[in-house]
Amino acid sequence: MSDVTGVLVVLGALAVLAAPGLLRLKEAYRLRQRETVEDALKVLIELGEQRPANMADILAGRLHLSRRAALRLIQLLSERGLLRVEDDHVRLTPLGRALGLHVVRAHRLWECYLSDDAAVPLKDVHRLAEKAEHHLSPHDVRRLEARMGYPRYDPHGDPIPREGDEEVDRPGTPLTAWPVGTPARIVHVEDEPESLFAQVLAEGLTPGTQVIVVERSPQGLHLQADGNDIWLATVVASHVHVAPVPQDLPQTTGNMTLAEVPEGMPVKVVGLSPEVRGLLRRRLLDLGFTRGAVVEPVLRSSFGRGDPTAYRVRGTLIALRREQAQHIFVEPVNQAHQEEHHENADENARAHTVNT
Amino acid sequence: MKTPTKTRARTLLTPECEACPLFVNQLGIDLSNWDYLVALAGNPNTGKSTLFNRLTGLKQHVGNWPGKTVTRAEGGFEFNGKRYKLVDLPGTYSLLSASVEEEVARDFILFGHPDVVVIVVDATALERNLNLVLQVLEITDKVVVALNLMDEAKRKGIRVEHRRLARELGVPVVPIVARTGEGISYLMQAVEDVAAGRVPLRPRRVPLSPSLRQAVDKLAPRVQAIFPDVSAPRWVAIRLLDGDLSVEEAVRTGQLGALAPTSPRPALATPTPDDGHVHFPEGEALVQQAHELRRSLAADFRDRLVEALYAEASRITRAVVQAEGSRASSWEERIDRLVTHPVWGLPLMLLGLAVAFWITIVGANYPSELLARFLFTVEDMGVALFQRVGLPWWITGFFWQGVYRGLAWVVSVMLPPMAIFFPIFTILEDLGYLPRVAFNLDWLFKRVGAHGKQALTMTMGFGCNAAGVIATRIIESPRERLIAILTNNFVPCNGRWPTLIMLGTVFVAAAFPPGLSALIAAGSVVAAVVVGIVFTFLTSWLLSRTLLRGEASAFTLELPPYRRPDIKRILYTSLIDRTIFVLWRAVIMAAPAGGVIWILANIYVGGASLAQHIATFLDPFGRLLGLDGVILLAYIIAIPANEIVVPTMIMIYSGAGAMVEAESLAELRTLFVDQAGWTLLTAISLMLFAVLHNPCSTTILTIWKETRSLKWATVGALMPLSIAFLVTFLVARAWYLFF
Repeated sequence: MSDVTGVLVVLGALAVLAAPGLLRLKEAYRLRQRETVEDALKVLIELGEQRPANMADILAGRLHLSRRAALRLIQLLSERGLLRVEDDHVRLTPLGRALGLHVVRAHRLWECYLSDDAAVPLKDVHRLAEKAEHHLSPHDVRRLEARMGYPRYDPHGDPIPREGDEEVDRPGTPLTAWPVGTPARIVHVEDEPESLFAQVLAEGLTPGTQVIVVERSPQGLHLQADGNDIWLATVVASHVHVAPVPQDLPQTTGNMTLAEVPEGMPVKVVGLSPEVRGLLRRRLLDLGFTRGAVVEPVLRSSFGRGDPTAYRVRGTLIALRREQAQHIFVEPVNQAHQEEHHENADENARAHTVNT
Repeated sequence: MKTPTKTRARTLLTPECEACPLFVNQLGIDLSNWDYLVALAGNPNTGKSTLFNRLTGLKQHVGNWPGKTVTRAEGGFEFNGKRYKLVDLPGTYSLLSASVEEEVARDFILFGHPDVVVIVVDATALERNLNLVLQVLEITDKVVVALNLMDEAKRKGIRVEHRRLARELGVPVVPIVARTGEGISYLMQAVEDVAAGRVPLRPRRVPLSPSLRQAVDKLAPRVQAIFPDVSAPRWVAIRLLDGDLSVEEAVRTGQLGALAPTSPRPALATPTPDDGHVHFPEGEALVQQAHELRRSLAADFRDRLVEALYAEASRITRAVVQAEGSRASSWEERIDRLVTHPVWGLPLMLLGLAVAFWITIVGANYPSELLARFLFTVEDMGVALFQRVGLPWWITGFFWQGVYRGLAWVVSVMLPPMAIFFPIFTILEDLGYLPRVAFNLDWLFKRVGAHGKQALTMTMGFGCNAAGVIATRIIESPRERLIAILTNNFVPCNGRWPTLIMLGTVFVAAAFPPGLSALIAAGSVVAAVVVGIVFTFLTSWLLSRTLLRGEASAFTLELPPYRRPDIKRILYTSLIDRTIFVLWRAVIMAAPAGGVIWILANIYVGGASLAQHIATFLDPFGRLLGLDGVILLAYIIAIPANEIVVPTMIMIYSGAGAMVEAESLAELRTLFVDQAGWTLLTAISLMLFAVLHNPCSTTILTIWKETRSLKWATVGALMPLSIAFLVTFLVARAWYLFF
């Protein structure tokens, strides 16, 4: 009898000691489950209007689950009223859609924050945001959005849904389907799988970069971007989506960057690379590196071999590191003058023709 | 006259003095009694603070903006029987970026409701400066432009038609030379005229792009309707479209209306009890409309806005400036070539550093001695007085030989070098040389993931690490700033020089003829500095790969033109701001330390003083590091003030009851080498320990205040300490291995 009591007491004590740990385990399990649910909603949102029948397989593949677990997940989602199963197809309920869009929004805004404010390398941004997206409340997301200055696109070029949006659209044509010789602007780079994404980044092809397809062959594409020749395998190129260069954006392809300008040669700013975002972009603009500003490299650091270099801009010497100067596109001042002359000449000629 | 508005503006300005690191007492001026509030705005390096000092003289108060680590100076002046309160806003290029400085300046102009905003403008770089002027003109009409540096402009062949400029801007423009005081009375007159509303103001508005104008035209009338008292509805509309958080918040809560100058009512909104937040439905709707309108704008409308501002500034500049040679004068370029020269640049810099040290060490010697003699005479008199009154020996001892002596020691050792070093530093800063140093050294700092301006905060650290930590405010990016804060301690400060100099003279310079000893002492200090600098880079590199991972972000560094320093202002800022601040902390920190030392040395347990007991206890650990127990104890006691390390060591070694100074170097040598058994290893270890050990308590406190984080303050204290332990331990191991 007393033995039994002893065992019971020991067991009871163990249970009391283990209880907090068990509770924590349960909490962790709940959090993990919530993350899985939210990830599933994100997959469904990204699929958009497509409603493939083998949803369980897709989920299993994207979320690294077994097929059985994926089926259980769909069951769970429908129990929570987040999706409806309609004759083999699944469809998000308004609630599920709203929650999914919130997660997409949180993810993409967090990516903006990481890239713009925290200076995290672009290749790590997606991975970090995959975690953070589950910890942001709608209020947090709203504050984050305001803080980041209401960006429309994340660093990969994906559109950021607004609060109350019903859809996320993905603009752009795969680079593989873009006509040869037409200037294009990268609007989106698929961030999964990571290895391909890293390859694209390594070539300097980030959203906003302007490219021209020079040549196309079955193996790959020959591109020109910011004056560099780039070869991309077809499978890699299919992950890059492009759109026409908007009218009001300066064409940056073919222009040199401020970092390449020799000392003492005044140049004119054409525009800032879209890669310069957030605080740095605003600071450069405020310092006067705006379109049309005349800039002249006057002083190169002899110890850093021209890094940094001091530029005379709007009457003041401002030193920039090479990374910053590389993102400022410029053209020779003389050329600009000549163009103006040309324009004048053209106008004169036109006036002349009208007169005669 | 005191309207409710002014009271409100004043409460906004109430100094939060527990956060004022730059301690300056109000110098006998009652600032609460003023008629007009004037804000001083302007780009950096335009002579804004020179004008501020010229206007206020010594009637100023330096502190922090409430809740921000941004320095704020305010002062007062009188003109034509009216009293003015002058607030110096942080120097900024713009009000759009929302850096902390810009936020502070913007919020004060918008919410502080100054009667006049004086914008100091550099006549030699008008285009850049007009960018800020145009932005301020969007917020308020009550502006006077002070066209400064007219003498320099004339020298450079730049002629500015200030009357034309006034017509273009629609506000008074007064040409001045702040350094000599030329034109100041006209400026004051213009300020009075604008404050009293005697001048018609027609400020220029920047033309906006069509799509932005459409959005603003829709939004501004609604702002006007909801907040009829707001003076700049158009600007509020632009800020709402830009997604400015603080303006958005002010609209959402209805605070915007409550802050308007003529509105006596409190807030429009009613606080709801459920969450304590203020809800103001009309404001919320306005913010929502701004969000909607924002979507109709091009994604880069912000770029376009800045472009429009600069285009307008450029147009005005072309209209009013006639430049014969707008480029920098050739001597400036020649100096720039020299100081950044691949061969001469670095030696020049090192020479400058050595000369600054030499002047400080040699120049401080005599005044230091004089001061010490005076202060210790006071001690003798005090002791005599106490004894005559018949107070017990321990009261006399504790008070005069403990508390007072600690204090006197710190003051006499520290004050003279500070009073010499800080002005030298400020002169180099004002000349424009220090930014060139940052430019030269940036490539090194870039490699370790830090910011070139860290070179400047390190130089400041030579004077005082706490001042160096505060100086890191010039680094804009938070990550690099934190690195600069955490590693500043590796630069030996003024308080650690005595130890280094003592070691230099006792162990190095003693071997040389007396004529050379000062130079050799300076040389050994430089050697210690080099060790400190090496560790600064090493830890910066380690930090940017571990705790503070990331890439060096936004780097911009202005190289201001070389200018003749304003000596009066330098003496003021370096003596009053920096020296007095450091002296004050010494007074409050060193006094208790002195008391503790006296108690430890005078309470005897079993034939030995407490100090000796503790030293014996610490001795094995000390030996492990190549030091001994006495040295460790001295460093523990000296956490509040490193100046008293050497006197404390002498006290314990010689068994005296109070801190004492050795009569001569020979005696010191006898004491350390023969009596205490110091070897060359002890000297080397001590030198390393002195450079690498934990920062003093004031610096730790300053780190905590600047970072607002207990975590970083802890890292800032423990990281150097563990490095010091590790390095001295390894050196001692290696030493025992070979000798």
